[in-house]
Amino acid sequence: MQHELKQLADRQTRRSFLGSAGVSLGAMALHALSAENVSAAEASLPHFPPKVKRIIYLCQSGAPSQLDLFDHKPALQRMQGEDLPPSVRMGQRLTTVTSDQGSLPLTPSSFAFRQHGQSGMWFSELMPHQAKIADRICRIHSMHTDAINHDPGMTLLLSGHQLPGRPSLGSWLSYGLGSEKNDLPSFVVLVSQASTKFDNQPIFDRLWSSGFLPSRYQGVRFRGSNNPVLYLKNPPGISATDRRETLDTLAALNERQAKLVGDPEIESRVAQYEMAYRMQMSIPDLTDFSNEPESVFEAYGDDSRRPGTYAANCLLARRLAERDVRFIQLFHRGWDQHRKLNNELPLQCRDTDQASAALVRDLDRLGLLEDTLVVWGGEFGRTAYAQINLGKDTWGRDHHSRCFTIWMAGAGVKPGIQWGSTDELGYNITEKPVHVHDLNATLLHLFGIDHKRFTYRFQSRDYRLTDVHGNVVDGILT
Amino acid sequence: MVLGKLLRPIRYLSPLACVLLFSAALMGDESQVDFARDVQPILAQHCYQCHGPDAQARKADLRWDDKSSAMRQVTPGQPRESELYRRLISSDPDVRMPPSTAEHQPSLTEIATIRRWIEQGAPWKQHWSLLPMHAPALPEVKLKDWPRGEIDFFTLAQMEAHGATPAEPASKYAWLRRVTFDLTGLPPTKQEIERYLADQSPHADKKVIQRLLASPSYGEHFAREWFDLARYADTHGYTIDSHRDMWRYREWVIDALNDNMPFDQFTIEQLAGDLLPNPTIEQLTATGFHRNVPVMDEDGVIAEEYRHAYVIDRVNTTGTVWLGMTLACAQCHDHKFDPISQRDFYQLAAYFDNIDEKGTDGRSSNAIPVIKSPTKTQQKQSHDLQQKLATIESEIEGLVTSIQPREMARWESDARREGRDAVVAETNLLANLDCGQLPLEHEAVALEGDALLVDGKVGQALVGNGDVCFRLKIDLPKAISVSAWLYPTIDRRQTLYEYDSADGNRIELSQTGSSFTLAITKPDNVTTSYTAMANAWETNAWHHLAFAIDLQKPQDARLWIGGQRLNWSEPKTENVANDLLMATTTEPGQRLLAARGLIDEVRIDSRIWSDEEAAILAGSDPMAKLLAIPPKQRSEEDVAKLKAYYLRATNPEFSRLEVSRAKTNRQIEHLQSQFPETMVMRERDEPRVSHIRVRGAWDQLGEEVQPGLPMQLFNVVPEEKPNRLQLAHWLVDKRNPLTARVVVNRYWQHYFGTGLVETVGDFGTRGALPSHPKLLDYLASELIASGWDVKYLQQLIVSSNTYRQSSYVGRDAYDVDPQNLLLARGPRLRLSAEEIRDQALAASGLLRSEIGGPSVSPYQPPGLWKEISKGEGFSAERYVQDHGNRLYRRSLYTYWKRSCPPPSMRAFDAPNREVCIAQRSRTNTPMQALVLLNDVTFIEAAKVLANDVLQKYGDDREAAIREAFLRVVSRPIEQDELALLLPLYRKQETKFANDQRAMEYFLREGETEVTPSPELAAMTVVCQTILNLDEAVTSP
Repeated sequence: MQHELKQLADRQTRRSFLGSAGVSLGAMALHALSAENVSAAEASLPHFPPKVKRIIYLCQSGAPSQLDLFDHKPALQRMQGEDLPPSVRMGQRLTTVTSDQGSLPLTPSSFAFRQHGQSGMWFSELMPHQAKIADRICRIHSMHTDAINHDPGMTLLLSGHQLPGRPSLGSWLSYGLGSEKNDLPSFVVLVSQASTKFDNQPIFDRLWSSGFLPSRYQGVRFRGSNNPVLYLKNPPGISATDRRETLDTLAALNERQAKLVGDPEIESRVAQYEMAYRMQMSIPDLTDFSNEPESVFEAYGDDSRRPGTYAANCLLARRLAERDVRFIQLFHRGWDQHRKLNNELPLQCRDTDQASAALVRDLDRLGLLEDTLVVWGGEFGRTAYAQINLGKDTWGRDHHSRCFTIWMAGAGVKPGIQWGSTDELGYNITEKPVHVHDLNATLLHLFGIDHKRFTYRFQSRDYRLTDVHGNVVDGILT
Repeated sequence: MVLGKLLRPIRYLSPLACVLLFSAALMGDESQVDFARDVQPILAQHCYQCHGPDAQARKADLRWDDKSSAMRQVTPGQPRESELYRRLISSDPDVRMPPSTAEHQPSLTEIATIRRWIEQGAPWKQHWSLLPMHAPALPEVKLKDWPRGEIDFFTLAQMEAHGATPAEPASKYAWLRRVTFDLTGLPPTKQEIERYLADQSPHADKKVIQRLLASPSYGEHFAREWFDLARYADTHGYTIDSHRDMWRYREWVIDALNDNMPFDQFTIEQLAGDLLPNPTIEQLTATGFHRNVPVMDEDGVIAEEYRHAYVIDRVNTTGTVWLGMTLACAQCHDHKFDPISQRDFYQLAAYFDNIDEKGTDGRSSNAIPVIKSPTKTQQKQSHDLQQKLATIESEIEGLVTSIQPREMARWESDARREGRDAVVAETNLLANLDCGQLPLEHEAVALEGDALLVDGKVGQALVGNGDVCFRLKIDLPKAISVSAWLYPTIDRRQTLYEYDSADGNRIELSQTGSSFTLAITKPDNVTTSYTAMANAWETNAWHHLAFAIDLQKPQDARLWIGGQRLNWSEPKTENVANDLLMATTTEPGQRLLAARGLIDEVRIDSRIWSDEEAAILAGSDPMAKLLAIPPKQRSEEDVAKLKAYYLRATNPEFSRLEVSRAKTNRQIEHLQSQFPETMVMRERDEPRVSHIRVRGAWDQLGEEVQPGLPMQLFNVVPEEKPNRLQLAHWLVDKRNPLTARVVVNRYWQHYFGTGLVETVGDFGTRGALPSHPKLLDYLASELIASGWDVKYLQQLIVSSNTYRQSSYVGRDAYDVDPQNLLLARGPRLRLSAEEIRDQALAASGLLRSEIGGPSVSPYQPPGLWKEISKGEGFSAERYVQDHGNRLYRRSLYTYWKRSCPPPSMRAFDAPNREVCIAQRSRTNTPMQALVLLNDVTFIEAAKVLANDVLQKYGDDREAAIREAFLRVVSRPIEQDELALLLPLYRKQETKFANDQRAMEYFLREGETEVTPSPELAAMTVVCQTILNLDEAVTSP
C-alpha cells in the first residue's frame, strides 16, 4: 500500500493535510508551506537510518577514458597494435562507429601512471589533484552498463531505463525525501561547457525530468551566470521594496479570496509566493562568491572565479550543500574522445581535475563530508583498442560498456578503497561487477531507502528507479 | 457504492487525516462486499503474479483473473471449505499463500474482506471496463428540480446516496470564465462578459456555448491537449535533437477539431489515413500522429534497435489513448494484471512494424517517410493557378482551331518567298534542343547540373551559372558543330566547349566577355592557344554563337558570332605546370556550353558547318526547318509548331497568352517549391516479418507473429486486411467497450480535473474504478449514438447543472471531499501553462489570432539551447527569438524542443513531449511565482494592458483598474479589492515619479514600445499584481 499512500498524499497536495478552518490565514500560509513537504517526507521514508543527507553528483558526460585516467593496464603497452582477441571480445556489441573499421588495435595510454596514497591507487598524470585525495575516495573499476551510446547511456544511468519517460535519480530523491530547505529547490542542476571543441555530446531535459512523477520534482537548472536561476531577478526598475509591496497586496487579495472560496490551494499559492520571495533573497547570497577567501579560489583553481565553469560549479555545489540542497547534479560535457584523445583529454582534465579534488577537500574541511556524498563518473567507458580510421595521430577510443571507472567520496562509503577489477586489457570485468542499477540501488541505500520498496505506480505498474534490477554494493559501505 | 473503493486507501492514513478527509457520510456501505471494488484488487495485488494472466509465470495452472479457474478454489458461502481462504490463513508455511518470500503480504483486513466475500456467496463479475456498454436508465433523485440534463441525475443520485447536496450555481461571471476557458483556452473578453450579463433570455447560456464551440480557438485549445497524447514536438528528441516539420499535422488537428470531425474518423485518419482509398493530402498529413515519436540519429547506434522502439511507442500510445490499457506491461511478459499476453502485444506491434522508416534518421531535418503537404492557402493557390493555366491553354487552343487555312497558307508562301525556309541539312544531326522542358531526355546529350527554365529566345530557355552544361553521351564524333542562343548575365569566364581525351589531349574553347580563347593541350602539357574578339558582345542581350571543331585539326576550329566568322590570333604556346593541370583534369569526354546566363535553341551536328550554314542558323529562324518540310510530310507536331509560329506572327493576343502561360507555369513551380514537408506513415512494399521479442529485448527474436487484435478485450474483427486501417476500425467500432469510455472520461477530466475514472490511462484491473459508472456509460453511449459527435458531448457537459455549480463552497467542503469525487461543487482548477500565457496576451490585447503555420519562438532566456546542444552542424541548436507579431501567437505554436522545452511552460507542468501523457500534474510551486512575476512575457502584457486602460480612462485610475481586473479575472472588482490596489498604485506612482531611470528601464521590458510615464509604470505594477492573483491562474 506504500505507493498508494504516497501517491494519494501527493495528489491531495496540501488540501488533505491542512488544519481546520479556525486557524488564521497567515498561519495557514505557513502551514501550507511546510505541508509542501508532507508528501515527500512521508512517514515510511527513510526505510532505515540514512548515512547521507545530500549528494553532489559530478556527472562527466561523454564517457571519460578510464584507461587513460584510472585503470592502469601495462599489458596494453606490450600488446600495442595487436588486434583485440576475439576470446576477449566474446561477441561484444560494438558501436557502428568501429564495427566496420576492420581491425581493433590495442592501444596503451600515452600518459604516465603512478600509484598514490596509502592505498596505492593508480592515477595517470592527467589527474594530479585527484591523485592527492586517493585515500579519501572509494573507486569502482568494475562499473558496467547496457548501453553503448550517449543518449541511452545517460538516460539509463540517471533514470534506470534507456528510453525516455522515467523519472531521474534526483526526481526520485526529491519525491521520496522532499526538501531540507524551503528557500531553495531540492534538486539543482548545473551545466558547464568543456574547452574541447568536438566532443560536447548534447544533454537533455530528460536527465533531470520528473518523468511520470509529479512535475514539481523535476530538477531546477541553474545557469552559469550572474543570474543563475531563471526568472529570479526582478525586472529592471523594480526594487526588492517594490516587490515586497506587490507581494503584500497580492497576499491580501489572495487571502480575501481564500476566505470566500475555501480552497486551500489559494493559501498554498500565497505560501509559494513567499517562498519565491525568500529564494530571491537567498540565492544572490548563494551565488555571491565575494565572501570566499582567496585560498578557496586557489584551491578550486582560477576557473572558479568565472561563473559557469566546472570549477565555479563545484564551488557553487559546495555552497548549495552548505544550504542543505539534497541533490546537486553537475554535468560537464566533452569527454567523448573518439579522436585526438591525446590532445583533448588533457583539456578535459585541466577543466575538471583540480576542482573535483578541491570540492572533496573543501567539504571535508567544513565537516560536510560526513553527510555528503560526492560521486564522479560518466555513462560508460572507452575501449582498449583505438579508433584508427581517423589517422595515426588523431586516434581516440570508442564507447565501451563492459567496464568503466567511477569514484565516490564522503558519507557512507569506505575511503581509500578500490572495488572490482578488470582484465589485463581493461576490457572485461574480472571481479565484483557493479551495474549502473547497482550504483543507483547503493545511492538510494545511503539515503536510507530500500530501492526495491521505493516504488511509484504508473499505468498499472509499480516502477522503481532500478527497474527490476539492482543490488546494493555492501562491500563499499562503511 | 463505488466511491468506497476510491476513498478506501485513505483509511491507511493516520487516523487524524482520516477524520479530516472524510465524514462518515462519504464512506461506502462496508458490510456488503463488492467484488470489483473490494476483492479483485486484493487478488490482483497478492495472487496475479503467479496465478494471473501471465502464462509464463503461472503456477499450478490456477488463475485468479479467470472465473472458472478461480471458483474451483472457492466454495461460496463457506470460507473454511474454500481453498482460497484456507491458504490465506494457514500457519503451515508450505500451505500458506502468498509464500513468505513474496514482497507483499495481505493485511488482516484484506483477508477478512475475502472471508466476507466468500460468506456472501462469492459473486464474481467480469472487469467493469470490458463489459458491454448499455445506456443506463436515469436514477431516481429526491431533489427533482435540480437536474438540468441527464448528467445531473447521475451526479445528484450519487450525492444524495452520500448525504450531500449540490452547491449553489456559480455566478454568471464565474460560469462564463469557466466555460470560456474550458472551451477555448482563453478568458472571455470584456464585450463577451457584458453581452452575456445583459442577455436575460433563457437561452443566454446556450448562445454562449454555441458561440464558443464555433470559435476557431476551440480547435486550438483541444488540439493543445491532444498534443500531450500525440507527443507533438518540433524536434526529434534524442541526442542531437534536430528540427523536424510537423506543424502541418498540428494544423490538421486544429482543423479537424474545429470542423467537429467525428471521433471515429479523427481516429481512422490519424492511425491509417494513408491506407484509405485515394487518400487526400490532409489524410496523409493526419498520419503524423504516430510519426511524432522521438527519432534517434546518434553516430554508432544500431538502427533496428531504435526502429523497434518507435514501434513499441506506437503500441503503448495507442493503448493509452484509445483503450486505456497499459499495454506496455506486456512488452516483456504477459501482463500481470490485465488480459493482455505478450503475443497480443507483438501482434499489435506488427500493425506498426511495416512503416517505411529508418531506425536512425533526422540528422538535421525530417525523418522519412515524408510528403509535401501544402497548406490550405497553398492548396487554394495551387488550384487557382491550375485553373488559370487551363483557361489560358483553352484560349490558346481556341486561337489555334480558329486559324483560317487559306490565310495561313498565304502567310506560309510569303515566308518561303522571303527565304525563311533556308535550312541547314540535318544529315549529321546529333541534337536539336529547344530547351523547352526539364528533365532533358535525349539519346545523344545529357544535361548536367541543376538547370532551371525561364522565358527564352523561343519558348523556354535553360539558366546556368557555369554549373550547367551539356555532355555528349555517345561515342566521340570526329568533328562537332554547335549552335546556340546565349543570353549572358555576367561577363565572367565561361567554357563553351571542353574535350578531354583519355590519353591527355585537351581542347577548350572559352570566353570572357567579347574575348574567345581556344586552348589545345597535348599530353606533354604544352598548351597552344588562340584568341579571337567579337565585335559586339554584351550582357543581358541575346547573341547567337556557333562553332565547329575538327578533333583531328582543332587549330582549324571555326567560331561565329551572329553568323559572322571570327578570326583567330597567332598561336601562343606555354607549358602548364603539372599540378595546375591536375586540378583541372576532368573525366574524358566532351562538355558543351557551360554558360553563365540563359541558353536556348541548341543544335549539335557531327560535321563541320560552312559559313553559310552558320549564317542561316544565326538568322535563326527556328521556323525555317518546318517551312522546309513539304506540307504533306509534316508530322502533327510540326503542324502544331508551325501554327504557333503563324499565330505569333499574326496575332499579338497569341503571344500574350504564351507569355502568360509561361508565367503561370513558373508561378506553379515556385509555389510547389514552397510546399512544407511533413512526416507521415507509409507502408513498405515488402512487408517486414514481425516477431515476439523475448523478454522485450529488441534483438531477441521469438516466434513470428502477424498483425492481430486482442480479441479478449472485444471480439469483433473488422473486414479489412490486417493492417492499421483494420486496427483503427476495431478501436472505434461501436461495440468496443473501451474506446468511448476512455474518450468521454478524458473529456470529463478536462472539465473537472479528475476523470470519472481517475486513472485516465488505465482502465485495467489495477486502475481506479469509476466514481460514477453509470454516468460514464451514459456519456459513452451518447457519444456513440451521436455518431462520435465530440462537440455534442462537450455541450452536454457544460450545459449541466453539475458543471454550473459554484466552487465558492467554504473550507469544510474542501476538507470533506478534497478531490471533489462527489461532484458536489464546481471544478476549480489551475489553468494550464499555455492558458496562463495566452490569457496574459489576450487580456492585454497582444494576442494574434492567426491560426496555424510553423512554430514561433517567443521570448525565452537566451543561451538555454546552446548550453546543452552539440554545437554546430545540425539544426535547432540555437534559439533564435522571433520579433513582432510572432511573439504574441497562442502558446500551442511555441517551438517545442524536447531536450530543452520552454522553461516557463515546464514550470507550469507542461510535459517535455517525449512520451504520451494522459494526465498533466497540477502543481503549485515558487518557480511559478517567479515566472509570473519576472518573465518578460508577463511584464510586457501587464505594461500593454496598463497602457490600454490608462488611455481609455484618462485620469480615472479607478476605472482603469476596474477594467484591467475585469479583463484578467473576468469579474468586476469589489470595492475592498480596489481599496487594496489603489494604494499600491499610488505608492508606485510616487516612486516612479521620483525615479525616472527605474521607470524607463521598467517600461522598456518587452518589444512593445510605450511612452514612459510614472502613471504607466505604476499601473503596470498593478496589472502585474492582477495577473499574479490566484484567481487569474485559475478557472473559478
